[in-house]
Amino acid sequence: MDQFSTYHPAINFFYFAGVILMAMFFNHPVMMAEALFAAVLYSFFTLGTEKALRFNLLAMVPILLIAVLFNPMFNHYGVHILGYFPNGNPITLESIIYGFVMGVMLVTVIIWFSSYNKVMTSDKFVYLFGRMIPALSLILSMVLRFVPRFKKQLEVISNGQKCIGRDVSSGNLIERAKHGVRIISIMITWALENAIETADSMRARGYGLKGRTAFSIFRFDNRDAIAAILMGLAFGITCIGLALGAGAVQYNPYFKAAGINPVTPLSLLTFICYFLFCLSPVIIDIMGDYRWRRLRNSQETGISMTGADESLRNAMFGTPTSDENNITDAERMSKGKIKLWT
Amino acid sequence: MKKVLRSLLLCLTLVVVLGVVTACSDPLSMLTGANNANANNGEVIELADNTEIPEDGVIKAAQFRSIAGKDRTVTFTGKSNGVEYIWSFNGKNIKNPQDQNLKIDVVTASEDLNKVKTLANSAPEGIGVTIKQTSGFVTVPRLTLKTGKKWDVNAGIFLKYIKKDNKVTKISTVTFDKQVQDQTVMTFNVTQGGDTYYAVCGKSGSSEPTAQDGNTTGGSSSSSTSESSSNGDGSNTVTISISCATVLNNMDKLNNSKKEFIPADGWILQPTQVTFTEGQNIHDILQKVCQEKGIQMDSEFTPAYNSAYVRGINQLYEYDCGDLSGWMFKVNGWFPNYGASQYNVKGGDVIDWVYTCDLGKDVGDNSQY
Repeated sequence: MDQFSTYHPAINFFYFAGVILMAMFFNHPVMMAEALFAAVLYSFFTLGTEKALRFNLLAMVPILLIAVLFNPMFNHYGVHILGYFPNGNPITLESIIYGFVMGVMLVTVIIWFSSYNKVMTSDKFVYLFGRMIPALSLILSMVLRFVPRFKKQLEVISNGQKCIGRDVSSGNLIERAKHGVRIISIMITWALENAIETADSMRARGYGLKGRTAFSIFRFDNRDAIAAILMGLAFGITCIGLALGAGAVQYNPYFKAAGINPVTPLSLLTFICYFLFCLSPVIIDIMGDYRWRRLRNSQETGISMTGADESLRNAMFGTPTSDENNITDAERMSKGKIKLWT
Repeated sequence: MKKVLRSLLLCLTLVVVLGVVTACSDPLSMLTGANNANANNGEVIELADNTEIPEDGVIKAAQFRSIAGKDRTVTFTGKSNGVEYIWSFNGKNIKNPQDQNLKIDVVTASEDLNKVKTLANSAPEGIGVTIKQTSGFVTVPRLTLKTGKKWDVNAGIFLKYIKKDNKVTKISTVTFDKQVQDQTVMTFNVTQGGDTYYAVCGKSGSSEPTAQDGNTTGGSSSSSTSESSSNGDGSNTVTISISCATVLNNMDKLNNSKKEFIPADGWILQPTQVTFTEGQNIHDILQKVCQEKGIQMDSEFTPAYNSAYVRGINQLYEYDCGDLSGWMFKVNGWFPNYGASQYNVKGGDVIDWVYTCDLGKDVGDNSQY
């Protein structure tokens, strides 16, 4: 599971702001490859393997292909002419490459945002910005939740309509269309009302007033400080490297990128730091996973429980049956009966 | 009842909207119509074969519309400084009628005229005309001057004096009417206006006037026979050239990544003879020659102007050399006020694609000013 989301919201936000802005403004092929790799990898941690696979393959690959196909149809710059369209404009290698670059950029940013939605929940966002910019942060947190929330509500409404035989799947074509329109109408009514209700309830709770605390309380502890320093260092070096021209790239009229041929120390350092920055949540997750496994192994090798612990465990999980009596806690844990016991 | 009425109203609205959309086959033209100054109402005023130029000199777009696209020549006459002048417009190449100010002031003696005569191989005779039309001509008109005096000349050129550089550039060749005995009657093509131009004459051989050809923007001497009459010479070849010489004077404004695509002398394609088939337009010729020579060329069809727009040639695109830069074309020295797909070429045409860095001003087109 994702450990990075348990870090302080400021670090979560700093990370996503950093990677999304970098992905949008720098299209150096090495950096894009790193960002795409990290985004896809991290999406497996945030979305879960099955959903991430489905999302990346079924939604992102087609977007990439469309970008690759469409760019050469409308742009004809480039010195490598591969052929000609029926209207006489050249098909160039450069425009295809740039289409691919645009597609990768788009896909990377979308995947980052899908992770962002899982990690930066509304309460975290409001905790960060609720006092600085109360109105804007409320709107932003509502807007950023807009699509997933609407999708969920749409399902609720259409299930409700299905119960009274008015779903889009029943009736002839005209009836179906009518039902669809009705569902959307209910949806919009709900959305408008919900927006006002949200605003009212926030006001009723004194949102934006002086001295008001947030719903969730986060503590900036040592773990967060270490992560902030390391991530800030990687990001800072990347920024300096980019400012010195390590990310310079040109796709029009021909492809030319800094620091690829030959590889310069500056560009190498920049790319490594950027890669580490992009991968930092994955590194944190893997490290956390590793630590958990080590702790479990150390329990298996002999640390037994005291009597008090034993009785507490029995109170919580019931008295062990006779054949379970001889099983150690570690074995029980590995079977998944006890999640975490220290 | 109310429901029926409402749906009826809805249907009616739909029909009206559909009707409007189909009636206006080119929805964009409604938006761009405003560009064609006072030309959007499509009014037509029939032109007589010969019209006297009015006091303000303006012949209306509506009048030109009556000859637009037809192979018919009309004349306009006026008089200035004792010199009678006659404009003749052929409607064949008029696609986009505009108001034209045909008033000219004739200069028979001035300091500039003397300078021009000296510059043009010390020509013995000359006359200046100040053309009031500032924004380009709808076609290439011929201007005839009846000087009132008899000059002993048989060769002449019509040229432009560039005061800044103190040099002259040729616009067209002057022909003389040998039938008239008592005075010199000369005729020449006019491709631009808004300035004072000079027709200088001399004897062929000894005092034949010379000037740098205005078409050779590239700098190197051109062997192109830019002096084709507007009727074509019947052959099936045209001369095409592509030049970005103006960029050489504006290297500071040029996009850095495009520097290596600018040839040292400005010629992307030296004047080249190409054959064409009947009905091909200038855009087709450019596309063909670029594909043959392997020159990259990017154009897009623009429905609003019913023509292709050339965005870039040889990686040099619009806006690459300042905000006012882009590709323009001229035919026999004239910048048509319509797109390259609208001009069907004819034998002997000289087509020049030129890159401007100043909305046409630096290549000799004043139509935007």
